[in-house]
Amino acid sequence: MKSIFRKHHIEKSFSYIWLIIGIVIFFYGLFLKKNIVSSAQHLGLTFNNWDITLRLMNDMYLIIYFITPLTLFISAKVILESFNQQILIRLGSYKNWIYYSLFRFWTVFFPLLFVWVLLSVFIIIGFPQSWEWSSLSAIDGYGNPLFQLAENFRFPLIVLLEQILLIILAISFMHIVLSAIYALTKKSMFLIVINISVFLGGIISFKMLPPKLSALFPSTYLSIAKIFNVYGSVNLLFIFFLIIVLASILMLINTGKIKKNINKDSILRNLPLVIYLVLCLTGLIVTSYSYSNLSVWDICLVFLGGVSADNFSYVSFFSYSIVYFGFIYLIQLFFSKEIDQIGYYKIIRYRSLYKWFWSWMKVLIFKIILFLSLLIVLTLVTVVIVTGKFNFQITLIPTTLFEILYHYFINGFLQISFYVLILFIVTWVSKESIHGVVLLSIFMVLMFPGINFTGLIPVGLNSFVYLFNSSPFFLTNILLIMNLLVCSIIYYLFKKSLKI
Amino acid sequence: MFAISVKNVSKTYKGLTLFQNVNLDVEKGKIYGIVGPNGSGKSVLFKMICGFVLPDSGAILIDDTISDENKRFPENFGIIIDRPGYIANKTGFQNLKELAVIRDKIDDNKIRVTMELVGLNPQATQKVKNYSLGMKQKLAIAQAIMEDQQVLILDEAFNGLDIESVDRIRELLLAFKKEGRTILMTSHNQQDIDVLCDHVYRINQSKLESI
Amino acid sequence: MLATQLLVEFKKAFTFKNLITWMGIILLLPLVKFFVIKGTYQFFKPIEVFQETITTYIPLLFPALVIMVYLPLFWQEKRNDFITYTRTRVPFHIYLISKALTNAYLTASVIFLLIFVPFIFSIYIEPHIGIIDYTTMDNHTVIPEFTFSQLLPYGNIVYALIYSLWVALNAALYTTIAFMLLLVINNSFVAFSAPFLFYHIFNFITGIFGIPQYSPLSTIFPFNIVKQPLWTVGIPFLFLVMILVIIFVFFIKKRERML
Repeated sequence: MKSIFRKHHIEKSFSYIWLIIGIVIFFYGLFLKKNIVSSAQHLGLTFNNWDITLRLMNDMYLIIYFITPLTLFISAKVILESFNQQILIRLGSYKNWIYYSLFRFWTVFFPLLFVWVLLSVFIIIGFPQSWEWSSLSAIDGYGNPLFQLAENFRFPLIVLLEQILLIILAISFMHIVLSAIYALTKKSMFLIVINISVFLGGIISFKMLPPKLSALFPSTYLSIAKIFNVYGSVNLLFIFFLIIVLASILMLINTGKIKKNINKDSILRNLPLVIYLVLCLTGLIVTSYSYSNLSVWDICLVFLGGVSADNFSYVSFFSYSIVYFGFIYLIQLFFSKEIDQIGYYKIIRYRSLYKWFWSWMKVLIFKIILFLSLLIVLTLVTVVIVTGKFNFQITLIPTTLFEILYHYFINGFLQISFYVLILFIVTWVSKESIHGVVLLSIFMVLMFPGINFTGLIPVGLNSFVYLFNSSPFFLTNILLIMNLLVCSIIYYLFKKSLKI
Repeated sequence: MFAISVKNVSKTYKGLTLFQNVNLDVEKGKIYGIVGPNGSGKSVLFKMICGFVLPDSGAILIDDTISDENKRFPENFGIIIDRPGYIANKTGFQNLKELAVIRDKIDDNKIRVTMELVGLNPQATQKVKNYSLGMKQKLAIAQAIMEDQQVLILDEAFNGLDIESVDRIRELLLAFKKEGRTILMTSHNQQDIDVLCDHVYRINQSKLESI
Repeated sequence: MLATQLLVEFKKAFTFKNLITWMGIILLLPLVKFFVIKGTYQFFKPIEVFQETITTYIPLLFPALVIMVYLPLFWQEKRNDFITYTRTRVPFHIYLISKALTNAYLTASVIFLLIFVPFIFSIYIEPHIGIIDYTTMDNHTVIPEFTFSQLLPYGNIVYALIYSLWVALNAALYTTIAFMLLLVINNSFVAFSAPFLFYHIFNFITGIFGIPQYSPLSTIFPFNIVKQPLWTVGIPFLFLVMILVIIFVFFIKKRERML
């Protein structure tokens, strides 16, 4: 049985399709060879076999437009073909199925990698042979992608071996992730949409985004030269390998515990939170890269800086909106369920409206404190990881760490609770979900310069930029008064007849 | 001591006088029926008794105690008012469980027993959004009785029920009365009133008349 | 039949409350901004007054405005099972198409007027009233140009019409996305907030990645960045058209199970 299986796959693997792929890579390699010769002659530099071998293995055009879509296609095909009842029942668990799927994937994909590597070596015919770097490899600029590799690696052969290892690990990881996603969702359309997004994302990142931001896209991790371009460090590369291996293991362990009742509803329930986290993390990573010359705390202050009448930028404004109003949006999702679904049956089980209010408000208060704590920890950790710095000096704002933390936690808590209470009032009075959206828009408008120039409108007062001109204790007073005011309004509303 | 006392209650709603100096004393362990034409204010009366709507004047006493802000809703009341309320994307059992955890007085087994009592299948995975009107009504009855509430306020509880279920619920309510529970109900079906009620009141021109 | 149903929907939509809301959107927002800027900004030409009048509030409130014009009316019908009763009176697909078209048309019209009316006021009415004190231009004066300024050489009205139509088209797209989501998903808050989310998340992502010229804010209300080639405004628009198509495909699949 095993020999038939092996024979069938070997036959399948070496079909004419690989021949066509080989031809494409070969001719592209010839094109690259021509460019190398032309550049070398123009610059008066020497070249050798490693110039063509490593360029063909690291060429981003080839990777993004050819290798990546092929990989995604093969991955999706294997996943969809192998996920059926007969196979699952024999494998016994989703975890085993993912291993099986990975094995099946490599039996199909291996020829592509083999052809690619083989041609990268084969195509050196006609080039000078050496074990060392050429002078063309060592030059910075002039379209040479190997410069950083030549600087950091003694022998080009090591680069080739690491490149192959990197491709194996990165592609394996990608397939494991796609398999796990499919095992969880069982939706082929979703898998296809993800694949298309990865492919298009690779093109967009390659064409439009600054190099450092390509870290967000999988295609980057198929080229060791690109990784150096993005991360600028060989240490990170090894940490990255380790993370890949660990993440794969963790994911495999976790998918073994997939319960049967993970369905569309449970995924949709957590989707807003996942999207929110992804957005915050993206903003954080990009900010860290953009301001990597600053200290850790300074970068945190930039990311969570917010805006005021005197200090405004659209990026800070939208960052604040995503982080804080995004959190409020998640709370609004909770309100729309709690208040929409509140019926006489539920409310009569609480002896009073205040008890009902407090039953979920105390949970929200806890969540706000947890949110603020996790946010600052996540921010600090991410900045440290991305920048590799451990410099915690505060230079951007003329204040102490105590005031920063006080402002962040105390004023942050008061500001968020103000948002929550106002949102509750609007939802309670109107019962229309549309008004929550309008309220969030109004909050955003109130943060614009020229509107809150006195700093008395209690919107965005937890922005760090307010510390330039105001004492955090003054802001606490405003926020406390406003919170008391809205609590009074709620107390008044609860004395009236219910409209449920 | 009366379970419920309505003392000189008046209520006007958008210019329309629903009640004017209405009085009602509900004895414990009895079933009271409230009848009247559509729109006469039966549901509003029930909402006032439960504390959801405040009377313009007068007082409502539960166990001889006037409700205040901290104890606005009476304890131990099971209610069915207006359209049955539910969480659409959960099963019947999950809906009841969500309500039961608030007071934490009963366990899952009691919920299941109650569902079977009213004619619902506690194991069903069907979501409530796919329930028929009768099934939703049964679910509403189940939540009103599952915690052994001593006072039941039932506004049109028999709506949408088949004949068998009507008979079953009638028997249930009579059994509750024997246990000493107090029931205040409305129905447009005269037979329900005749079979169940010890006392019947009609809403007539903003007043409650005993019939 | 569609034409008849469209007429019915339009008549239903023109209530006193809706008219007040639409007038409020069209007149109040630009008016408030106008009075904020009239004494505090330096203007050289009326076109600057127009451009400044429709910045800040309107761009930020845009995703909220597009869902306020007609969608609440439709949601009331869906929420209260009113649509069930219409199914015996008009074919369901006719009913939905008429609703969709009415929603898109009314929203686009209100937003068109929201842009066009301030333009007419700033260019043709205010100069005669004289509320704004224009500063005299000299050789060093540079009037900033924004995307769509490429149309100014063709005349002010052409600029205003095309720009207003562009904003109206975007409004129709955003509101139609919300409309389709109201049909497809159970949570009305998520459906109503979808335009808001798309708009601001898109703004955030393009902002942090250093490509604000492709943000919805800068392509619909391009007064916060320097003049861009006209084709750039199509990028977020086309992306949202794709989103709409995807939602429409979901809707087709769910059609029979819906309502």
